[in-house]
Amino acid sequence: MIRITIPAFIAASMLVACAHDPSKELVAARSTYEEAEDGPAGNLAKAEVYEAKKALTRAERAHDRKSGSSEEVDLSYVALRKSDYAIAKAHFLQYEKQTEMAKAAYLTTLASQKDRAESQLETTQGQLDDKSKALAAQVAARQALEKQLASAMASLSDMAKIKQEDQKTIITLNGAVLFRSDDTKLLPIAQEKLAQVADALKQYGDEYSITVVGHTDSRGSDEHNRQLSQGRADSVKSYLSIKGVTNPTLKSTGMGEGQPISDNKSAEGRANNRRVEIIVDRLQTEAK
Amino acid sequence: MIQPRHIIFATAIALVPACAGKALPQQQLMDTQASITSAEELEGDEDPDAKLHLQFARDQLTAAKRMMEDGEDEDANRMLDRASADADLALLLARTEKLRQESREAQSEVDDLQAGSKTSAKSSSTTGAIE
Repeated sequence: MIRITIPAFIAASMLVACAHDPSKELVAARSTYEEAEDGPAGNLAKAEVYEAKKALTRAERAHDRKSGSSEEVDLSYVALRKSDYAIAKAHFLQYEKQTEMAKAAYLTTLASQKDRAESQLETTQGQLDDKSKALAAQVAARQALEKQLASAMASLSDMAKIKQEDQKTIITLNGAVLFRSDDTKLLPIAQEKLAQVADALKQYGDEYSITVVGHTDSRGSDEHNRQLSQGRADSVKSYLSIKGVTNPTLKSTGMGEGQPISDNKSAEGRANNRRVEIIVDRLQTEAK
Repeated sequence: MIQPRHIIFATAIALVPACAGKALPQQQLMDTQASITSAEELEGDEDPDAKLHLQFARDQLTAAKRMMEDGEDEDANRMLDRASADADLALLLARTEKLRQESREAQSEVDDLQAGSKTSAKSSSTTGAIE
């Protein structure tokens, strides 16, 4: 008898236990609450999780009062939705944060683009400024040079003529002012004048070549005239060197009577032919 | 944000006690209906979860009113609690979906801007200094 009644008793008590089982709504409410509490909502949506907990407690009490009642079902249903709400709230806040971060990143990117553009603009502006300053300096130097040369040559008008041919500047000095007849030694007055010419020539940089060329009239032999013109050109060149014309291309040559600029038949023509020319030329032009 | 439909609804609610039971909390009823309306305005139907809870809320609200008419005050109140919980959830889900879309758009704008920024940086580096 005993062997039969014990399993029956166990079976009967299991039936009783089944009557106290929570409703499926309460089971769902409990597990969803755990999910909310343990998930991101546990940190991000504490107030909502707390509301869910209160709702779940009310459902548990209803269950304790009368298991399986419609009150337990309804309160569990509400508790389940409150936990769902807490979880959804956490999602909402996460998206909100993502949106804020994206907007901030947008502004940061925009600001850095603006900075880079401004910096590029400044660099470009700086480069332009440097170039225009350099250009202005070149123009100013050139103007100063021309002015100085003009003023130096103005004082030499009685003994020198200045002619511009393309890039060349040709200073023609009257032979009678520089030398005595048939002599290669510079007159004292000529030295004084040539010192002013030297000051002007010193302004030309190494990009210019300076050539001193001696010329005579047709009187006397060719050979004598060539030597005379070479000697006079050498004298002028030496004197310019002494006065500080250090141009590395400074050289002298004697052309004799070969390149007259006037008729040798008249005294005036011969006087014009007796001359020394100083030719200043840009080296770039020579290279061509 | 108050729209004519809200006013009409509020007027309708004010008339409810005359024909329905007096025990149904009017404020909760109004709040629930307002949440339903707001979720609908946010096009909550676009999100399947929001749509489902919106439907639950509507059905349970109707049921709560019917129960009240039948004199089942306690059941009606609990049914209204259920409707209210679903309406709140539906509204939040609808708002979350909107925000998710906004977040994605904002991120896409940042990506576009950064991609453009890299392109312009590359082109300016190849241009180099002015000649």
